[in-house]
This record gives sequence, C-alpha cells and structure tokens, in this order.
Amino acid sequence: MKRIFLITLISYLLISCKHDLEKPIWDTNIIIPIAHTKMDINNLLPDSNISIDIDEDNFITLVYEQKFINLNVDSLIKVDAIADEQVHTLDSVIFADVVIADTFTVGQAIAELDTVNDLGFFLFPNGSQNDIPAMPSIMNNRTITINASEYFENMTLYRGWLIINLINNFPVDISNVSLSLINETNQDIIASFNFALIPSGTIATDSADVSGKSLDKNLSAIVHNLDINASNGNVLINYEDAIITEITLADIGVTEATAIFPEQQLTETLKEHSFDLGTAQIKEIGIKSGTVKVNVLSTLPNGKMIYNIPSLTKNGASFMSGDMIVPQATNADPITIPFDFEGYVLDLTGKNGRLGGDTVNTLYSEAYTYIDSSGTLETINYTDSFYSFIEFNLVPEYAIGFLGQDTVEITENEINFDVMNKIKTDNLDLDEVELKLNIKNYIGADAQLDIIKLRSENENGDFIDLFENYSISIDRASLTNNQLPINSTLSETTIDANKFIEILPNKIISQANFYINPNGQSSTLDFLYPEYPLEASLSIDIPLRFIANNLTFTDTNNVNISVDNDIEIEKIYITINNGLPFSANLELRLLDENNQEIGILLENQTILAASMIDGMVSESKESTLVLDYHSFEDVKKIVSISSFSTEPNNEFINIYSDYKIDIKISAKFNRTIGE
Amino acid sequence: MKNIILILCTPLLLISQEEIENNRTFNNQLQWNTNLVFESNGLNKNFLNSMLYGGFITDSMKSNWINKGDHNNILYSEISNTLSYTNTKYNIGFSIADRNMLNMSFSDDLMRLSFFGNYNYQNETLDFSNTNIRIDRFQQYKLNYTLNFNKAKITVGGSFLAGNHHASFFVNDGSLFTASNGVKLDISYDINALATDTSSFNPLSRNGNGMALDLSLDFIIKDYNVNMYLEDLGFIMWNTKSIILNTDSSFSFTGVEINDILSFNDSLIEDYNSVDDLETENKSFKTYIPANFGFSLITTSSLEHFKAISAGINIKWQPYYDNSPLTFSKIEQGIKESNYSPLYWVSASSQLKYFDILPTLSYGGYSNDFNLGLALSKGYKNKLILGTQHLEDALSGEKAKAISIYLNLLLQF
Repeated sequence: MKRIFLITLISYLLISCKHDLEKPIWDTNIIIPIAHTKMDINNLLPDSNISIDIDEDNFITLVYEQKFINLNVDSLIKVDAIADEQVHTLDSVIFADVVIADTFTVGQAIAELDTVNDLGFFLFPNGSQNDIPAMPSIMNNRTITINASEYFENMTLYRGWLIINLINNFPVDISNVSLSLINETNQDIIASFNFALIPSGTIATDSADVSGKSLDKNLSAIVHNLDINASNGNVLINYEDAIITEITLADIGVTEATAIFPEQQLTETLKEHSFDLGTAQIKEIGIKSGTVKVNVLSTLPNGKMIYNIPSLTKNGASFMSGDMIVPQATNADPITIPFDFEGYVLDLTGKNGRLGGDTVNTLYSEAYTYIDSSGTLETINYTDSFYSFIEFNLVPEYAIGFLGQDTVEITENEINFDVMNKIKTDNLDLDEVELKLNIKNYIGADAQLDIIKLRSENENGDFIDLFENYSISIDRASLTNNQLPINSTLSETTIDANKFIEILPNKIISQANFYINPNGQSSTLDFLYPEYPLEASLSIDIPLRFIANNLTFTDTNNVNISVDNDIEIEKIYITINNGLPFSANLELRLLDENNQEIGILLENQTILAASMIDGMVSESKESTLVLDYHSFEDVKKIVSISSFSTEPNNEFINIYSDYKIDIKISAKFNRTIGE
Repeated sequence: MKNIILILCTPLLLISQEEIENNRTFNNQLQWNTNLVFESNGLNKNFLNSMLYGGFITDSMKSNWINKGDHNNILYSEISNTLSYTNTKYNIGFSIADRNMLNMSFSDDLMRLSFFGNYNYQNETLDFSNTNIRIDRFQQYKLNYTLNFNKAKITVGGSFLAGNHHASFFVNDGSLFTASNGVKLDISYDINALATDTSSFNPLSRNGNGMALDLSLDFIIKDYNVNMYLEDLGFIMWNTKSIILNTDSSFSFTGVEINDILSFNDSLIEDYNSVDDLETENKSFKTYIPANFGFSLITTSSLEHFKAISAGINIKWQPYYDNSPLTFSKIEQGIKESNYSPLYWVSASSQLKYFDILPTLSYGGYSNDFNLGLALSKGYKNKLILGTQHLEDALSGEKAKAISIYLNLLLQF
C-alpha cells in the first residue's frame, strides 16, 4: 500500500507539472537609422540646364546656359539634282565597213585557154617573155562566192554604199568588165558595175547606193564578162600576177540586223552640268556622304554604259564607273546603279582647261553608251534605244567658294525656363546678374545677327524685354592651313539682367534674323562645314549673393511604400545639421493617386540657420524634426514645400560650395515579439 | 548544478549511512536516478513560466528580471536519468545515463535589447559580450572499478559518450551603441556558433562520440572519511556534418546613403534588409561535457538528531572551445567558462521514525547563492529518496530562482 501511495504521489507530482507550452509575447521599441544624405546647393536646385561655377573662394555662381538659335545651314549647299538625261537610238549605231576581196591570177587565166589539154601553160610558160594575144570573154559569168557570216546573219539597211575596187595587176589591159552582187538565197541583185577599160597596173573604182537593200550572209559576185586585151609586144608571164576584186560595204545604217555584234560605242557625251545653289558660287565640295545613281533603261539586248566624273576625286583618283552592263528592259522602269561618294571631293569649277577659264557650281562628266559584245547572234532594230539620267544626292562635309548672300529667319521661339518653376518668393533681391549672348561662328563668312526680341516672361504674364532690334556683327572664321580645325570667332554681348531674372520667369522668348555675307562677296573664299555651324547661346550668371524672404521651393515626388503589418512605425526622426545660412520652414503634404491631399506629414517645422560670423557660416546648427508616422497605404506622392529666408535679414549673403546640409532619417518601430 | 553534486554525493551519503547504520552489506546494487533542474543566478520562476508557458510580458516584469541578480545572467537546466549497477563484491560498477543540458549566460544588456529594444538606450552602449549558450544531449555509458587498500580505496572509471545533439553560440565580444534619435548604430560582434547536423532531430541520432574519465580517492583520517574526486572529465567529437559559423565584424550603420531625400521608397527598405549571407562550413569540432572535481568529508555525529555530517566543495570545468592545450590557464578558463561558481556544501542525515531526512546547505553553483536542500529517504535494503536542492525556492513562489527535484531508487541484493 505504501508503495502504491508513493508511486501515485510521484505520478501526481510529475503530471501536475505538465503545462501547455506557449510562446511569450512582449513589445519592443526599436530605433534605427533609415537613410542619410549630404545636400548642398546642388540638391536644392531643380533639374534644369543650370550648372554651378565655383571660384577659388568656393563662392558659387549659378550658370544657366541655353542655345537659342538653331541655325540649319545644310540648305545653303545642298546638292540634290537630276542631270545628264539622254536618249540614244540605234540609228546612231556606226557599223564598221565590211570588206571582201577576190583574186583572179594570170595562171588562172592561162588555164582558162584550154581546160582539156592545158595548151595555155605550154604556150605561155611562167617566167617567159611572150606576146599575149587578145582573149575576149576570158571570164564569162564567173561566180565569186562571198561569205559574210563573219559579220552578220542578215541585215536590212536604211543607209549604205557598196564599193567595188578592181585592181589590174595583169601585164595587159582588161576591158568590158561587167559584174553584179546578188543574194544567193533569192538571187536579188544588190548592185551591178561595168568597166570599159582597166589598163594594166591601175585600179578601177565604182560604188552603188544600197539603201533599202537586204543582205544575206551568203552573197555572190558574178563577173558577167571580162576581156583581156592583146599585149603590145612581149611581156613577162608571171602566173602570180592577179586581178583583185575588193567589195566593201561602207557607211552602214541598219534598220534591222541579226548578227554577232562586235562591241561598239553608241554615244559619247562630254558635258558640264551646273547645280542651282542660289546665290552661292561654290568651287569645291567635300562629300561627307551621298550617292550618285545612274539610271538606265535599254531595249538593246546587250547595252553597256560608262560614266566618268573627272572632277570628282578621291585620293587623287577620278571617279570612273567602269562597265555598267545594262540588261534588256522588261518594263518602263530604268535600272539604278548607285555609287557611294563618301570621302570624294567634287571640283565645281567645270572641265579642266575649259574655254573661258574656271567657273562655279559646275560639274563636268563623261558618259559613254555601248552595244556590248555578247558572242551570240542578236537581232537589233533601229527603234531600239538607250535612255539614261543621273541623280545626285550629296551631303557636303564642306563647301568652299562664295556662300552667297542669304537671310535665315529665326522665328519667334519660346524657351522653357524651368529654373524658377518651383520657386515663389515674397522678396528676392539678386546681386549682379549678368546675361551673356555668346555667338560662336565656325562659318568662314561674315555674318550678322539681328535680335528682334529677347524677353523673359513669368506665369503671371509679367515680362522684361532685354533686347529689341539689336544687331550683332559676326566675324568670319578661318581654317588652319586650309584644313580643320576651324578657328572660330566669338561675339559676346553682356547685359545686366537682374530684373530679367527677379520676376522669376518661366520662359524666355527670342526672335532673330541671321544674315550671311551681309556686305557681299569677300576677296577671301568662304567656307562652310555644316557640322560646325554658328552656335548662339545665352548664358545667365547668377552669383549666389542675394537677399531672400520666404524663398519657397515646391516639389512633388512619387513615393512607393508598401505597408508592412509586422512592423509598426511610430515616429520618424529627421535630424538636420544645417550648414546653410538659411532658416527654413518645411511642410510635407501627402497626396493620393488623384493628387488629393490626404494628410500632412510635417507642418510648421523650422530648421535653424547656421551661425554666421563676418558673412561666413561659422557653425552649422542641428534641428530635429519629429514626424508622427502616417499610414502610407494610399500615399502616392509627397509635396515638399521649403521656405527659405536668408539670415540676417536685409543683408546680402554669399553661398559657398562647402555649405552643406547633413540629413539623417531614423525611425522608431514598435515590434511585438512572439506574435 | 548543485543538485547534480548532491546527487553525486547522495550515494556517498547513503553508503555512509549504510556503513554507519548497519554493518550488513549487499553484493549487488541497482539504482535509478532522475534529476530535473532549472537554476539561475537571477532569473526567477516567473521568468521561466513566462518563457515556457507564454503570456504577455509587461515592462514591469522585464525590469524586475533585468534588475535582479548579477550583470551576467546564468541559466542552467538539466534533465537526466541514470540506471546504474554496482557489484560491491568485485568492486565494479556500470551505469547508463541519458543527459540533456542547457547552460547559458548572458548580460543584462542583452536582456534589455531583447525585451525593450534599443529605443530606451540612446547614447548608450549595450554590451553583450561573453554571452554563451550551450545545449547538449548525449548518452553516457560508464564502467568503474574500485581498488581497495587498507584505509583507502581508489575508484577509476571510464565513459563512452554517445553524442546526439549539440548547439552552442558564443558572443566573445559584442556591443551596440545607439546614437541620439537613432541616427547611427555602432555595432561590433565576434560570434562563434557550432551546431550538429540539423537535418535530423531524432533524439537518438548519433552525431558524435566521446569519452570521459573518472577518478576518485577515498581514505580515512581519524574519524573522517575523505573523498577526492574528478568526474566526467571528457569530451565529445562531433562528426563532419556539423556546422561551424565564425563571424567577426565592427561597423557603424547610418542607414542607406541616398541622393534625393524625398525619393523614399521601398527600395530603401529592401537595401536596408539586405543582409550579407553568413558563411558557414561543415566541419568536425570538439566540445567538453561539464567535469566535476572536488572533495568531501563525512563523519559520524554526536549530535542528537544527526547521525552523520558531511561537507565538501565542488568545482566544474567546461571550456567553450578546444583551443589550447591543457594548462593551468586552460583549467582556469574551463572553470570560468562553466558559468559555475565553486559550490560549498554541508549535509547531514537524521533518522526519523518512518523515514530519514537529509538536509543540505550549500553556497555557490550556478545560482551563486545559498541553497537549502532536503531529501526524504525511506527504506534500507531497498530505498527511495526524493528530494530537492532548492527547498527555499520551492517556498518562494514566483520569486524562485531554481527548481529541482531528484528521485533515487536503490535496490540491493
């Protein structure tokens, strides 16, 4: 029983100790740094074209720079033209003469005397001295076969002459020669010739017009009759002496022909072309980029063209297109063969050694068209043609010559002046604001800028006109040993602009006219590099020496903070160590996605100004701003309104680059542990 | 840890009683010991209850816990069960023990940081150097043998340690300075962490092996039985799946540097939350189990109510790391790093009509304070002892700094 009691007691004690284990819960307060930054005057300025100039004393001058003239000079020397339009028809084709020869020797004539027993050779041995009797009709309807397939298959002529030369090298005279040239296929007589007497050692010539005739490749010359006259005593019998018949087809004009045409030039065009460059008189253009397109349309089966511009050179070599094979056209669209002219120099003084001396704006070119040799039979017709034109589209790298007298109107232009956009002030007194108009001229020509208007205007419509009808003369730039770099000229105009800026303008309005060569052509050649035009800018120097009362910057920033339910932010601390001689009043307002204000994060919190001794900050001052945490669930934007006032009041203060604001953000979190 | 010492001494007391009370001896002893201890030098039962059983911890409770006790708060807990057999005829003994130990020490500043956060400590440095946490679970298989001499006996023993799990975390040097308004945190830390394979938390996983030595000398001087002992001087070598982390850094944090103060968005928080990955390595390491050494005296009493009186001193040795050879310096380091102050104790036994009582008075140990213990013993041949080393805490309710109970069952045959 005692044992049972003891066991029961022990068991009770052990079991009674059992308790469900659970996690404890407690609250903690944690403060941690979130972010920190160092700001200077840079950070207080809105994003703009403003830059900061710091002198050796670290004094800051704000410099606003803005181009206010955008001068496009490309149009002054634009080479964009179509030139050299030409049409070449086949009637201009020049065919080479067709020459065919036949030889009838003394030996052949003696053979004709006795074709059976060859008595002629017995009576008139070669090399002997004999008296030759008259031999009438030694040739009677002798046919000489002419094979012209070397030249053509067939040919219909609208122009041409058949010329026959009979060369009598026999030791005796010949007479009563009559012959005809006929087409073998249809036996059409092309021409007939008659010669009454051809003395020994002479040439008899005759010709016939063969216009309108058709010629086959197989022709026959039929000698209807040829008499040998008796010799006057003994003559030397030489079997090699011969009567030579030469038939020449000359000055051929083809209506249609089927032939293996040899390469032959159709046209040669050597000409000058003047570009319309207004009043500019350009002698030389360096080509930055661009093409020359040769456009050709040919109905010939085997056209070819060569286009040369001797005055267009690159590294001393003239431009030559080489052979441009032009396929037979299948429609009315010409084919285009482009040539890249990047890096070429175009001499516009015309043909080298031209009559009357050099000229301007003028290009000299050479164009040649050909029927190319294809090696196969081709049929061409006199209506076939060759049409071509040239397109120039050149972007100059530079131009040299007289740029002309031109006026560029620069229409009224508004520049968004956003430096002051976010600023409002009860009073802003700036010290020594200067506006400079800087005109940097890279054009090798005299110029003039007439400023019709230069005005600052604020959002209330208040404006200050700084210039009205003000002329600025601009000197020409020069090259360095006739090449880059350009020695630009600078025309600088400075004017007091305190009022111009103190109205807190939101835009600057300008209008001007630009004149090139206002005084006419100079003895010095003008030049223009389009990449280096005229730069006209205005710069406003605002030394940060001013008096400001409630100089208010308003800025809106997007925020994107998700809600974390595990961590509850109770407070946010912004610890500001102000090294600027401004006191500031800060407001932070929270906006939702519709830009509706849904809360104020910070209001009427003052940041103390740094301490000053002798106009210089001697010690920065720390201010801590405590923000009760706001739920950021619906917050999409924060508007910050910072009002600065210079201290001490009514005294100009200088801002130096080493004036900084050190900002540290920390947050107090409540975190429940164990949940 | 006092209770362990008392448990260790209990057999001695019992044996003494046996010798004093009855000359009859048995050849075989079978014994079961259960020991549950929670002990602290400053944290009380209220703290323990809150940690274990939950509930909301108020600022008042936090302040009470922090303001009690030393600057360093020591917390020790052990649950162990031991089954042992001793053959007195052949002077040989064997025991199997399952031991679970938690030993930790941390500063008030760490408690301040943990319970309050750093908001209340702006412009102050919170120092949590020398924070250490050690958790061990292992089984101990011990064999001992006693050599008897004329008036003395020497007992030597050896243990095989089957390590299950270990985790330890040491902040050798650590502090946090919070500047005014929290604009800056100066943080420095030198941390080592060791853990056994975390892929399995099976209570009987074998993640390490070790050994331990026991040496005990008993001799008699005049009427005093003197016992000098060295017990559980040993280590466990954990396997190569173990994880070691060493990190040492000192930096000042002022938040994320930004260019536009008003462009505040989540990316800042994301930057803020980006923590460098801690680099760990898998490597074997060695840890020590707490070793005890000390001595005790026991003598018969002429006092009416006490038959025997004993007294002694116990010291623990458990260094954090195996980082230097065993020297006097290492001994001193191990004593200091055990979180245990030398325990001075005196005990007596008194025989009542139905049971014996064994009161104990001690000072030192993990609580580094006076403790009153009391055990009730019933039986002779077969004996049941139920006791606590912290009787005064059992009566202190929520203010109790220690809870302990031990049970000893002895069968002799």
